[in-house]
Parts: sequence; C-alpha cells; structure tokens
Amino acid sequence: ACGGNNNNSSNSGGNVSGNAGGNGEKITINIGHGGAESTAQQVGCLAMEEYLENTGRFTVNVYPNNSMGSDDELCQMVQNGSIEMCLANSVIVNYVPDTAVYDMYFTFDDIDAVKDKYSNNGEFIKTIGEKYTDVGIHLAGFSIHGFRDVTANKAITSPEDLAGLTFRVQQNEYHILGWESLGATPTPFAFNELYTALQQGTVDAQENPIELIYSQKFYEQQSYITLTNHQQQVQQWLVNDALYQSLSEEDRTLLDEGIQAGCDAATEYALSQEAEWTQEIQDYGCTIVELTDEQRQAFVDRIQPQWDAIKATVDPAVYEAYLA
Amino acid sequence: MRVLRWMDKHFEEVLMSVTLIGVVVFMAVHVFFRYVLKSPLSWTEECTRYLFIWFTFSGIGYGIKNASHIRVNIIESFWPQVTRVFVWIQDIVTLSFLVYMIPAGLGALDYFYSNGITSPGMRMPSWILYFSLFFGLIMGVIRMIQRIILRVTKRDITDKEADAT
Amino acid sequence: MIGIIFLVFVVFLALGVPIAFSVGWTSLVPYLMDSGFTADSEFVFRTMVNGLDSYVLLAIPLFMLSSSIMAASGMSDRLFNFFAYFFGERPAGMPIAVVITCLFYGAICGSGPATVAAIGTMCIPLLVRLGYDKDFVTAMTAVSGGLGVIIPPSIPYITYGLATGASVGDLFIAGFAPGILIAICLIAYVMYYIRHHDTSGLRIKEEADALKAMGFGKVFRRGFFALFAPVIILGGIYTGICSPTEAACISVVYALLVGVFAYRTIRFKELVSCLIDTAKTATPVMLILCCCTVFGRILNILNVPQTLAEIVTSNIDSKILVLLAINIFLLFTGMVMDTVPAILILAPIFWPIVQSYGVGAVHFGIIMSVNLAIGFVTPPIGTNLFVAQSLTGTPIARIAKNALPFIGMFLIALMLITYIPQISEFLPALLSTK
Ligand code: NA
Ligand code: NA
Repeated sequence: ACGGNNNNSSNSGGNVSGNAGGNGEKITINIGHGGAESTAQQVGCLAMEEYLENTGRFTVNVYPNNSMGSDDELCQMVQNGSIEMCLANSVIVNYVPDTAVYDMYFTFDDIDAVKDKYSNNGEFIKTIGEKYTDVGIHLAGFSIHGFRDVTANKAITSPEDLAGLTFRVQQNEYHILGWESLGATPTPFAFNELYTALQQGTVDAQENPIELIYSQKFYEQQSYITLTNHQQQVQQWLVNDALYQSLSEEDRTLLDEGIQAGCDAATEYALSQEAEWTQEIQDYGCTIVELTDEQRQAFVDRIQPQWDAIKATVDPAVYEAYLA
Repeated sequence: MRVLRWMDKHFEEVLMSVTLIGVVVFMAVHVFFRYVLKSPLSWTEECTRYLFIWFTFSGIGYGIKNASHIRVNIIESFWPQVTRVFVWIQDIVTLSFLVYMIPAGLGALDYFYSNGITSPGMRMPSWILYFSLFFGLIMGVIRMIQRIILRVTKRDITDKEADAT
Repeated sequence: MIGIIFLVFVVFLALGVPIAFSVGWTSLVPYLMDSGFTADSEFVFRTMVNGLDSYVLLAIPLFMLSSSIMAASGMSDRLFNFFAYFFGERPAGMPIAVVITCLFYGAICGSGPATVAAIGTMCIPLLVRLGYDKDFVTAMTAVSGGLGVIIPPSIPYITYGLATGASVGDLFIAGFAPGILIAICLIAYVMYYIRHHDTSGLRIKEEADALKAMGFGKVFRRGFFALFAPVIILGGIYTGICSPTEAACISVVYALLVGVFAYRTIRFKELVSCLIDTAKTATPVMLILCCCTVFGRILNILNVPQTLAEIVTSNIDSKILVLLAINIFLLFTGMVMDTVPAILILAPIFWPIVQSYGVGAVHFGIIMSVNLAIGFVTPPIGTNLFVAQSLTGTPIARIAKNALPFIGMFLIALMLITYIPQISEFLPALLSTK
C-alpha cells in the first residue's frame, strides 16, 4: 500500500494496450505494483521486462503507483486473470490464509536468514506454493526488501516504551494482535493520511520498511527510527496460474528466468539502497536506534500470543516448513 | 398496494438515511475509542467505508427517479426544443449501461462468493460489499423503466424538473 | 483508440447524458473495441466499487451533511450579525461583513454552493431591505461563496488529494492564505463600488444601531457557537484528535449538538430532511467519482497521461506559458462542468505535466480549486448562480453580468496565486518544520 504519485514521463517503454500490433503469438504480461518509480519494486519489474522482451517472446507492461488498483485489487485481478502479474506483500493473506506465517514477528535474526527461507530452491516455497496454486495463483518468486522498523518520537528499546502509543498498523488482524501483544495501542489508519497524522500527533508511531519511511518522508515527522526488524519486507511475485499452466515448456522456462532476474534486481537494489537511505534520514536529524540482543529478546518474549494465533489457523505443514 | 406506494416514495430515502447515519455514528465511535479511550477499534474504519459504498449505490435509482444525476446540459439550455429528443437518448444510454453492467456484476459476485473472500477487518464476506453496486444497477433499471413508462403515459413529473435544470 | 474514447465521451456529455454514465460507457470503449483489453466489464464493475473504498472520500458526504445541518440551524445569521457589529455603520461595511462572513463560514463548511445558500438566505434580503442594489448583493454573495471551497475544509481539496495523492492535510493548511487574498481582492472591489455609487438612500443606521444596542457581549454570545466551530473542526485536525476525514464527522456531530441543544432549531423532522437533502446531492457526486476512478485507470493503462505530458514538455519550455494555458483550459471547463468531476477527470492528466515543470502538488491543487471556484459563478453551469437564483429569483444572466467585476478580482487573485507559489506554500512549510 503506497500512495506514491511520481508519474515520471520516463515510464516503461512504449506500452499501448493489450494485444496491440500484429504479433499475435507474443505473450503479453501486464504487471502492477504499489511502488513509486524510484522503488526497488519498479527496478525489479523493469529488469524483468528487459529480460523477457529480449527473448522476443514477451511484451511486458509495468504499472507502478497502484495505477491499476490497490494491492488488494491487484491480487484479485491476478487471481481472476484481469492482469497477468503483480507484486504483493501481506494483503495476500485474504486470498491465501496460510500465508499468515509471513506475519509472525521476530522470526528472523538477520537478512541472510530471510533470503535463505524465501529462496526458490527451499522446501518452504514448495509447500506454500501449493496453497497459492489452490486459489489460482502461481507463486513465482520473492524479492527481499529488508526489515520493517518502528518510527516514533522516542526510542523504542523495550516493549514498555510502546505503552500508551497510538500505533498505526495495516488492516491485518495478525499485525494488530502482534502490536497488542507487545504493549502498543494499534489502530488501522489510511496510508494516504498517515504523514499528516504523524505531523499532527493523531497517531504517535508507525512501522514500515526503511524504503517507505524514506520515500514517504515519515522521518521528517518522527525523531527516532528503532531498528526492531520485527518483520521481513518481502514482495511476492504472483502470476495468474491458468496463464502460467497454458505456456509451453520453453516459454515457461523463459518466464521463470525473467521473474528470477526481476527478483534478484529488486532485492539487490533494495538492500544496497537501504544504507544510503538510512544515511540520508540520519543527515536530516532523525536518530537511528539499534537494539542489543537482550533488548530484542524482551520483544521476542512477548510475541508468543501472535505466534499461537497464527499457528492455530495455518496448515501445520506450512508452519513447520516455515520454522524449520 | 399501500406498502408498494410507500416503498416507491421512500425506499431509497430510508436506505440512504440509515447508511449515512451509520457512517456518522461509526466514525464518531472510531474517533472516540482511539482518542478518548485510547483503545482503537479495528473494524469501525472498514465498517464506515462499506456503509458509505452502500449509501452511494443506493443513490443510482434515486437519482434517476428524481432526474438529479449531474449532467452537462449546455445544448439544451441554448436550444430547449431539442430536450424532447435528448431525454430519450439520455435514458437509453443510461439504461443500456445499467443493463450491460448486470452480467459483469454477476461475474464479480460469483468470483467473491465462490472464492469465499472476506474483508480484512470485519471478516465480512466480500460479496456483500460488491452486491451494493449490483443492487444499485437493478434499482436503476427499475427506476428507469418506471420513468419511461410514466413519460410514455404522459404522467412524468420529473421531465419538468429536467427541463428546468 | 484514444480519439474514439474522447469522441464518445464528448458526444455523450453534449447530449446531456448524466456524467457518471457517460464516463461509464467511455470506460468500456477500449474493451468493446478489443476484447483482449485488460479492463473488461467485470474490471469496470469491481473498480467502481473499489474506487469508492477509501476512507478519505467519506469526508465529502459528511461535509455536505454538516453544511446542511448548519444551514438549517441558523449559524450563518449569527455569524453575520457578529461581523456586522464591527463594520455595520459605514456604507461599505454591510457588504464587507457579508464577504467576511463567507470567508469565516468557509472555515466550517466544505462546499461553495452551501456557503452561498447559508449566507445568502439571510444576507441578501437584509441588504436589499437596507437599500443596497439587489443585483449587486446577489452577485457578490454568489461569488463570495467560492471562498467556501478555498478556505479549508474543502471538498475540492479532498477530491484533488484523492486524484493525485497530495496530502489533504497540507492542502487544508495551505488554503488559508489564498482564501484571505481572494477575500481582500473582493473587498477592494466592494469599497470601489460603494465609493462610486450614491449611498445616501441607504437605511443602515437603524440596523447598525440595533446591533450596537445589543452590545458586544450579546452579539458575541449569540454568535459564539458559530465562531467556535472552526476551532472544533480545524482544531481537531491540527491538535491530532482526528484526521481531515474524521473532522467532517466531528463537524456533523458539532452542528447537531448546536442545532438540537443550543439553538433548538433542529428536531427530528429537520434532521430527516437534512439527511435526504445530503443523500440527494451527495450520491450523484460520488457516483461520478467512482466512474471517474475507472476511467482514470483505463487512461493509465493506455498510458495517456504520460504520453500527453511528454508531448507538452517536449514542445513547451516555459512554465509560465503552460500554467497560463492550463488556467485558461480550467476556466472554460469550470463554465460547463462542476468542480468535483472536473478535478477527478483533469487532475490526473494535468498533474504529471505541471510536475515536470517543478510545480508542487499542493500549489497546483490550490490553482485548480481557485479556477473551478470561479466556474461556480460562470454560466451556463454555475452552481452558485443556481443557488443565488433560487434565493432571489434574479435571472442567471443578470447575476452573471453583475458578477463580472467580482470575477475580475478573483482572476487577479488567481494570477497572483498561480505565479507566486509562496502564497500557497509558506503555511505548510512553516508548520512542517518541527
Ligand atoms: Na471551506
Ligand atoms: Na460555470
């Protein structure tokens, strides 16, 4: 969910409409996502576009800025075939309930562990992938965009620091439960009013990846960013399953490779930019707080209710594969 | 018959008033719980949005009944004599849009119903939300047919209003 | 394809088909021409619903409802008396009090026509009774009502924020300075007009004396709840009690409390008619809005805004020229189209263009709103004109003619606002530095 609006004129190449021109046998891939043009999502999609169009078999149109619809709508559209592909994060839980495991806070200690878990060759992606296929979506890959962190007007070094803070979260029951467990007062709040709400103090704190804290300028209104790293920020690359199954063996391989190229490019860009963005945020005068191992453990100790709730709803096989 | 006549007059008005009051009440509750009680509710925001969507689509038929849908009547204001013809074109274009969208609505409803998709906040089945537009389309068609019949039988009261605006 | 889309759109509009259904059919054109097109009729159906699924939007019917309740409860009269108390005894004083009442009423009401209705109902008959020229007073009130949308809260700002992603909160802060500037321009003309007209026949003395006799204390007490309303509504936003959307709800609750308990003018019957009134005006606007969301997405799929921006930027170098052209285009649009649909259709198209010339989102939002506020009083479609006509029975053409000098002053303010971005930008900048 991103309200970016930087409609640069330098969009993806000459995309007109669906099956324009006489190349009937070429496969058109429309891909939508919520990032602005400057984000890793867009970088990844453009890398995929380049790879696929060079094969001569595909035409790719990229629609950033939620211009085709909100994250939620994009998932619906991929599911019923209105568009071929999209990137999605936690909203997918409305369509694939087993993906609630992604919402388990404090599962990963560092980014390498995240990369490992979400790698295409891992056991987990095979298990969870079937759940996507069941609802008509092909899970083609993941790109890793760092961790989600907490911004507030004070350092959040212990769960006690969260007490009494009106804390903006996404409309997601596990996120709400998670922050309740940690001692905050979570409230869902419209993303496009969040900046003003932080400015006026309607909400006191919020959580997002550095990528969004930077692009939405939340750091201008918050004096501290605490690197809680409570949740990994991962984009799922989704393809309409009927389309995917209808492709020839060779085309499917090409598409897999193209998506992999996109995932890699997005991951690399996101993680390499993170340091630069963090620096700029610090230069603005916002303090970055890192947690010691003990401090982080205090949070981990309180998250159990959230894990229990998720464990109760998902397929045990998925749960085990995720924590394995 | 009495019931039907009352419904004809007030059905949409009641529906829209109730949903609008619902929006005010639930939003006030939302702010109260967040700001005063410091324990925000997670479902009220979504609830107001959905009531508002029902409110809007309940207005499709009502707007047709009252000829209060906003339009650009620049030509009619210069040459009022064309109104008689234009009204038919306007009604046919409107009616055909409403009718054309009904199967699309069925398709969408089927999608949300058969996939069992629910809303993130209240866990309400999503088809209930999308049914609002479907309902609006049906009411629009009914009101439009009613209006055309009244015009043909020269009993249309809204034509005068339409001429005036 | 794009040519046919716009042809269908313009022909349906010209035939007087309701805007919502014109836009609806237009959105289906690409799919009807090419069944492989991404956006099929089911897409249109779903997007119509999803396009309304935004918390920010709720502010529009709520602000309409609160305007309706405030008008029924008589807040505007008490406000006017308060300002007339200060200026009432001089010839230019009474009309100036009307403009200032509009300015102030703008801070509690989100809509232009509602401002005209609320202020005009009481002020026009009063000023005519006092001997002012009826046409002059009617035109002045119709134009001053435009302040209702420039001073926050404002429905056009909400719509613009929705269409472009600009911060509604920032727009709400930014609108004050341009609003006051416009009010000053209008007041300047009022003073000029009064100086050049015979004022010996005015019977303002009794009215002013009556107000003076009441004493400041009583006038202030009577006007208190109206004067206090902006503190509640805007204060709610700026002190962090609520978001701009929720401020609309607060204003409904406040108007109800004042109308029911303080003024005792609102009973169940009045409330019901306010609700029906709001439903009648709000639902057609919202329906246009959801159809425009669909249309906007389809234009995006066809890459229209980007292509248009490229054509403009590669042909015109001068920012001054582009802004002038857009201003003229918007003024003409304002003549034939209402504010909300105009913003919904045009903001997503113009915003990428002006953005590449370095115009800020908030600044452009103010420019668009001022342009379209002028459209409120230009025939053939001028909502404020219709309201003023319904209040006084003065023919539209006569109101419009008398409004010309006021429109001229509005245009001067528009030029200043367009070419001096600081007017719109200094307040948000001031407040955003912690
Ligand atoms: Na206002
Ligand atoms: Na006009």
